[in-house]
Amino acid sequence: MDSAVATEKDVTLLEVLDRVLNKGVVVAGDLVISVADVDLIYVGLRVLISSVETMERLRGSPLVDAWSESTP
Amino acid sequence: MDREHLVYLYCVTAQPPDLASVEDQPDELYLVREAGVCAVVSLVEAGPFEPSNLRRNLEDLEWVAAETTKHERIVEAVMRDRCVVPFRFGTLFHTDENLMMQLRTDGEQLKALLEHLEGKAEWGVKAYCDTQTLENNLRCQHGPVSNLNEAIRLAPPGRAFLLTKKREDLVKATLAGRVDQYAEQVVDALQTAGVQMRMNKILPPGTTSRWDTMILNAALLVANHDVRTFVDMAKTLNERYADQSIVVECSGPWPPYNFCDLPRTVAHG
Repeated sequence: MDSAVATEKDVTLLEVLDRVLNKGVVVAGDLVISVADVDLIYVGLRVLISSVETMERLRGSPLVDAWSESTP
Repeated sequence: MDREHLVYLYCVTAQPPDLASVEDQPDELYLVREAGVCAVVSLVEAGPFEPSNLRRNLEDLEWVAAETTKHERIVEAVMRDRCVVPFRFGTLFHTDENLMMQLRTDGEQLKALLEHLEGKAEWGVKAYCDTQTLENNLRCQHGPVSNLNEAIRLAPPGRAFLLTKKREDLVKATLAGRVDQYAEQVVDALQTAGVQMRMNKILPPGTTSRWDTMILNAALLVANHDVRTFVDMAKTLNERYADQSIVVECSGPWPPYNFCDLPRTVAHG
């Protein structure tokens, strides 16, 4: 359970998908990808997750690094 | 600009970020500056986003994974340098001029949002519960359930049947109550370390790599100087709830996807 607190090195793809596809600012761009289209992804999500499992954590961001270094 | 390409908007910042720091970028990033904000964009091929192709592509999980990962990588790289307002996947414009027009419309709100988000980042908080163990414990340790167990043992078959049904209902309700209570306690504790909290849908089993049951899926906006407090608090919660089969998982820092609603766009949801 020691990996249960922050800065885990793998982040499931699900976390990325949920944010990038369903959150973030929506403006009426010239092409609008509707939420209904995006929801289709969840149909196959289980398959995707089981095949990808986890993805190498995208961020090796300074914030995280700084934090992990300051952590015993 | 031609018909084969579109302008893809990843995020906006208040001050121009250093785009050279974004590595492995297949499409060259550039800035569109208008209305006091900097939009980080790149030209992408229009083909995959044409309505006839898009539906098929969205069902192609490899395509979706590659495109969302690219989007995320770019926003995160910019975030290292600047406070960002991330945009949703596939925010596309035909020309820079069209984007500038949009920025003129939303500029004031974006600037206010950037000001609010400065010095903060989003953290994911998920709590999981081993409901099977919790239920097993309830069955043998919870007073009212134990009483029913005893009554069932002594009752004639017909009565025992009814009592068994009563016991199962009680176990179910008690379990649900406990789970709600734990989730609420986690929320109450972590909320004190953050500025804003947003509750998201609980994900069904099988969509995460964990086998236990998700009981909380939230995003917390945390000031960078409070991150240590936040992480320590999560650690304390894990220690406190280890006996109750509860695990609290945090991830971050994320771009503030969950805290970027422009008032005008809320209705589009």
